[in-house]
Amino acid sequence: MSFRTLLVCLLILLPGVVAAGQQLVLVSANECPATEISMLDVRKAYLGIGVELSGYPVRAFRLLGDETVVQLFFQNIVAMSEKSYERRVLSLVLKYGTPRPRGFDSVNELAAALRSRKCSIGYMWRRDADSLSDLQIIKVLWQQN
Amino acid sequence: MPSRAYLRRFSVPLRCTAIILSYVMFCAPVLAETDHDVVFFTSVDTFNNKFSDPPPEAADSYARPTLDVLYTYSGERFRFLGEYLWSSTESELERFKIGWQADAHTMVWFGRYHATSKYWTSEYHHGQFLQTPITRPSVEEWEDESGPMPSHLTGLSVEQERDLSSERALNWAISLGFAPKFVSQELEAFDVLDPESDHKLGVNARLVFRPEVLRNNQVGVLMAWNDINVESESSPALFDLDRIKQTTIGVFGDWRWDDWRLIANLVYFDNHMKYVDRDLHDEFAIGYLQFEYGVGEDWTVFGRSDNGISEDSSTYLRLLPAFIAHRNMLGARWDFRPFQSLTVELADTSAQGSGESHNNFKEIRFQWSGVFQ
Repeated sequence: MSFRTLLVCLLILLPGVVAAGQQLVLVSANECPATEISMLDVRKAYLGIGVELSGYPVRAFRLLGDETVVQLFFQNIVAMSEKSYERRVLSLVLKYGTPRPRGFDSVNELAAALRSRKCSIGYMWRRDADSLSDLQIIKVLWQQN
Repeated sequence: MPSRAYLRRFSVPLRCTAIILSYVMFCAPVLAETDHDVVFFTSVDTFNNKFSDPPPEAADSYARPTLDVLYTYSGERFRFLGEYLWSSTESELERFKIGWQADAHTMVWFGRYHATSKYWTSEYHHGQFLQTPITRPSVEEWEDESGPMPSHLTGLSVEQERDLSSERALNWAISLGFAPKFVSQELEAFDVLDPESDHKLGVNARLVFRPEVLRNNQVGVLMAWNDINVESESSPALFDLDRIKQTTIGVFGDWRWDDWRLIANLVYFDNHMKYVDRDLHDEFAIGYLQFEYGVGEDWTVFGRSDNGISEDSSTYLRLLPAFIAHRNMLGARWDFRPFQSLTVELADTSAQGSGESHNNFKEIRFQWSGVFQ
């Protein structure tokens, strides 16, 4: 096996190595009184259906900068294809003016949005959530076996 | 030289166009970080009825480009929705309403909105790309396309969705506003810039049951009562007709099984037509049954039958000679990008006509539609 082939194999395997043992978690700002949320309400929030946490309307934010997280979002959170999801939320914009979940390229941008709106929710790797002291984990969405 | 009426009609679209363009050019970048959305629904559809003998009230063959611009803004509790449609045949402010979110499940709206008692209209509005076929069902046609019931009201609207248990939900909406009036051969919606136009009240209601709130399946009941004023001097057919008190009750279902989808809607009409010297009672029912079958990820074949009960002899429908009384249609759609599609539709169609019998013709349509956001 040439060095180049070995390098290509390592690059292909890298995303799996990075995700091994990782958790994808749902977070909100510490100031939100709620400490947990059902999976049904998480799905509703990301589909634009009205959900409340401790009396506050929930806004759902997405993390777009990590391709593995994007795939986990469609497979495990909303459980539908990207095409079906995009049409579903577009339909709600047309019908009710419901805002689509905003997407952010970086964890820092997502964290800033979560701080700015009480009881809004977003998802990120657990290691990122642990490093942000003003965010609380309210659900584990996915865990690498 | 254009008449004053012509200028008045087009001054509103021109002003709105200027406002929207100003917004898009100057304000959108500033608000880019807030919860607002601008969506462009575009389509170009062509229609040909030359291979049969089209009646005079049927539309001529054409190619029609259309642009529907939707703008929404959502704050903590405040929401705004505006929708403007341009095409080669019309330019109209479709929706313009401000809303207050009472809680996560309840919205209160004020402004110009689409009738809540029409299923297809409430589902697709002018988002041509989101509806599978090119044509709308005849009972769902807009006022200026010979639609038999009001599509636009201006006033107050409340809608709420409540969880029943687990994933089931009940959605209801009720609205009260100015209804259209009958002018010449069509209904004419209330114009906010012409409040003296003597439009009367309309009340709309919709009740929808969703067995699985995360999916699109739904069944529901639709009700409306509209006091439709008539400009009797606008057409000889309206001579001495003063008012039409129209009550409609409808049921609908929209269901998906694997690759299949079925949409059904039946609406009963009860019209009390008040002439100067007599009252005339007119009743009929019209509806449609549409199937869709998904072939792979990108192809859909579909068909729809628009038909009715006692609609052939309706005095009210004869006031709308271009109303499509019957249409049996088959078509196919290809989605070739995330938000673009090509569609073809073949139909055997009958326009209502103003006499005893319908005017039958065949039509073929092609359409490109897309969404830009």
